Amino acid sequence: MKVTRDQITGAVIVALGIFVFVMISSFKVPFKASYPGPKALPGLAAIGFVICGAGIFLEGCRNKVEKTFLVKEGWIKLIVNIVAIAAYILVMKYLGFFIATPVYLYALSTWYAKGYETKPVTRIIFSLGMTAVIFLAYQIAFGYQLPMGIFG
Amino acid sequence: MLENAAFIIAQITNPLNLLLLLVGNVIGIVFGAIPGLNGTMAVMLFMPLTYGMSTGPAIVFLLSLWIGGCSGGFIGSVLLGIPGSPSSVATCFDGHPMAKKGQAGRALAIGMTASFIGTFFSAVVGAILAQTVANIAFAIGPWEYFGLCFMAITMVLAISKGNMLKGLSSACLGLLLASVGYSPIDAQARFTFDNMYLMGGLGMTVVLIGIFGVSMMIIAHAKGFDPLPTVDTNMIKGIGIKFSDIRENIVNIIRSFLIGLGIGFLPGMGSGLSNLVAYSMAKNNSKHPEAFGTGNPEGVWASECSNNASIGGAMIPMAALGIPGDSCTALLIGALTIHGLEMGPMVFRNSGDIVYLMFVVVAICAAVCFVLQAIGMRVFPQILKVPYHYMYPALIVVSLISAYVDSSSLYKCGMMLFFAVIGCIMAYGGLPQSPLILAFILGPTMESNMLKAFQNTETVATFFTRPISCVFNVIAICCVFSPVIKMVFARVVKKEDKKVDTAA
Repeated sequence: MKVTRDQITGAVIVALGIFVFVMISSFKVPFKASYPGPKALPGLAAIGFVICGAGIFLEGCRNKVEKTFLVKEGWIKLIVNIVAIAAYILVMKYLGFFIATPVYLYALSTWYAKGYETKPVTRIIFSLGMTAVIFLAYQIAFGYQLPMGIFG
Repeated sequence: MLENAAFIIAQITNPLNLLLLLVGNVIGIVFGAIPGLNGTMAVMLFMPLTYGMSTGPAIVFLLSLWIGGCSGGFIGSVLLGIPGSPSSVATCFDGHPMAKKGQAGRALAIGMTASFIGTFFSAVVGAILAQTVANIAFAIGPWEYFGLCFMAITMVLAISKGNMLKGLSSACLGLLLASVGYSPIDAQARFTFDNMYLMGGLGMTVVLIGIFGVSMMIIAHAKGFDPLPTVDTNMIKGIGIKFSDIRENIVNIIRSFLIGLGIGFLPGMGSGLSNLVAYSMAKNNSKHPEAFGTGNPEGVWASECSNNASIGGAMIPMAALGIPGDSCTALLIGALTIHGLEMGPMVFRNSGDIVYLMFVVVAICAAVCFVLQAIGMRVFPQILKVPYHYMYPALIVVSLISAYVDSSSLYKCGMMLFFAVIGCIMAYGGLPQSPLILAFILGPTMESNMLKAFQNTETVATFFTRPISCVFNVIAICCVFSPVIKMVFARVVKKEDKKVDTAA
């Protein structure tokens, strides 16, 4: 049986609604008709999640034809991008902005440029230049301290 | 105002003030254009510089930063599809598709013209009506604020591109994210998981750029880049648009201006809301609503005119009541207090010259921004000539650094990545982003006003017994059930048609 995107989305939204209900049940201030308290806003969201999620799920059961979101290669690209950003943040934490940023920019521009004609020298100039621009704009001009890692 | 004319003329012809006005506008435009930075941040950053200045130059500099930041927001939205601030979110919907179609110059020209019209005329209206209109605001209570927020969230579902359930889910997610942190009034910790970074709630920069910006770039790469549009700047004649463009959109402009002015006037609301409401109204009243989201200039006119009209509107309660219209006016009230100016009803009697100077400076800033953008307009489209394999990595890094500088913590970068993943999941499920953002921005205002209303009357009935509140809430409920109402009407019409056919 083919599971549609809408069915998955609907199920996830319903699950989120149930999770929110469970979470708000631990709030100390009770919900009253005369004063709804802190449960009101997330409670409203939870009700919305359950109703809308169920509706989206049922629509998914009715309508089985849908466009492909991403092909297999696209999914790999998406996951690698997320992992690359996480790695960049981690490297910035330990080695600082000045090492992490040019390396990340060079690696990402090389990967993104796949299929285009680019020279490594251009990408190196771009990576170093962009790092310098960010440093000048944020730290020198606007006074923000960028992460220095172990060099800080 | 006329009795203050000599003081105002002396201030605006002072060479130092003129220089500060020019510099402030340029910095503001740059801050407005760069994603993650905005006019509020510019004001915040440069405010300490003004402490050593006298009141006149300080006001000129701070206001020029604010106006430049508000006006420049459309540049990033049009050219990059990433809003520089919440006030230019709706500009992305049609401004960026226009740029993709090779009409970047036209979109920019519309943006700067609409910004000028919105700012200039709202300052004029503000100066004329400040004292009178402020009195009306005393009649508006938390019931009306709640109704307005509720209506704004449900109205934006009209731009959910057809699927109300997905739009509502997105709005609910926005409300959930808005409820993270300590609740108003009761100080109940919600969804904080004992994490100190979540106690104060989720930062707008992190959520906005994560869901709107970073996820967009990741998905664009995963799907494969479209060929880059070429922008022929030689095709831009004059300011890129003709006077007839303004004439054709005059109703849309006036409507958006009034929406911006009205929403800007209401305390706590500002350009972040007005641009979405005006866009939604423009779509609903357009002869071609299906063209919205595909590069329709009407969308850019509506968004930019309204968000800039909110400036004049926000200045009215700021000056007359001492109540901030938005986050930036809150900063300005703080800065002016340091300069010995206590904003409120008495300010017109005690420092009327300074108050009217503020409105005049805003009007002049609008004109200066227009000229600066007209000169720089041919330079802005050059950004589109930067290949995606350079532009997107650079933008991802700038977005992450923006998150970092928000609180000098890499934890915020991690949070931005989390919201980028949420943005990707939303794209997979086909959930629209704008209801989430609107609900996230309005959630806290809506909740605190709802709780205040219940504290006052302890019943839900008051939301419907107060006339203005009732109107807002009824409109909101109608918006939620509009697909059902439409469906019922369609069935009735179909049945009638069948009867006529059978009879024939």
